[in-house]
Amino acid sequence: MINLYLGQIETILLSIGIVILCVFLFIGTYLLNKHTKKPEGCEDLTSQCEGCKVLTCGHNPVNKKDDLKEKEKNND
Amino acid sequence: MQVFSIAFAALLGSNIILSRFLGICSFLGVSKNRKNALGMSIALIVVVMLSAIICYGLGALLTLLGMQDYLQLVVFILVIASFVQLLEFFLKKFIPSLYKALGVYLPLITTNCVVLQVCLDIMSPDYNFGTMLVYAFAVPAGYCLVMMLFSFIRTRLELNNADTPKAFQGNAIALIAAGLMAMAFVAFSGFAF
Repeated sequence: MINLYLGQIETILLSIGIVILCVFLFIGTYLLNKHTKKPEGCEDLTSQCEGCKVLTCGHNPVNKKDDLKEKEKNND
Repeated sequence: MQVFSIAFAALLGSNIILSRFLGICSFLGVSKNRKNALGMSIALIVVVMLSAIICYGLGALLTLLGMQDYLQLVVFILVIASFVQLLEFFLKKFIPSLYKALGVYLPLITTNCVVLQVCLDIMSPDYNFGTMLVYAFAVPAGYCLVMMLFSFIRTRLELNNADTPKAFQGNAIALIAAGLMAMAFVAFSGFAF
């Protein structure tokens, strides 16, 4: 195994650089995915999910029920 | 023989759900019906295998730079999250039929701890590329096996819900069933190859 021996400052800077690169990679892929249109027939795939116990998840039916209640209130 | 041993241990003996208690959230949440359990399991197999290959390469790079101890976890989390986003984009754009089949489970896998654990496990020097691939397939296959078995159990529990005492209905009886299943799977850890 080859080992590259770097100084302390170089190691810190390189570590920060790698993390920043990964963060930007995530932001880039997230935006790319978000701005891509869903194919026909896949617009409402969330309805397949019955939900687990994570109430903060956007797919949880509890959140959908809240949305519905709000809509009903607005209509009233 | 080593490959067979790794596959057997990951599938049955040291099953990721029943002996390491990882992926419990999706195990309890999605196993309510068989179709959802299968969808989640297939999506997990695809994501774990491809993430493991990427993380294996990245891990080697971090080891070369001497940063594997403290940077591995952060980098792997971000890489897995990015990879899932990229895979979803790719499927939306080029294979809509597969995107429809994997459905909502693909983005949910980002938070599944099985993916991260497999990526951390394969960083052990015991794994070469071949054994890593076997392990990365066998672990989600074991997850799939347990999910399917448990979805059948839960279907039967739902059917007999009226016979279950009120205090045990729902997740309580599901957890008891999971515990019994875990005890049954302990028997497989006695096999040695």
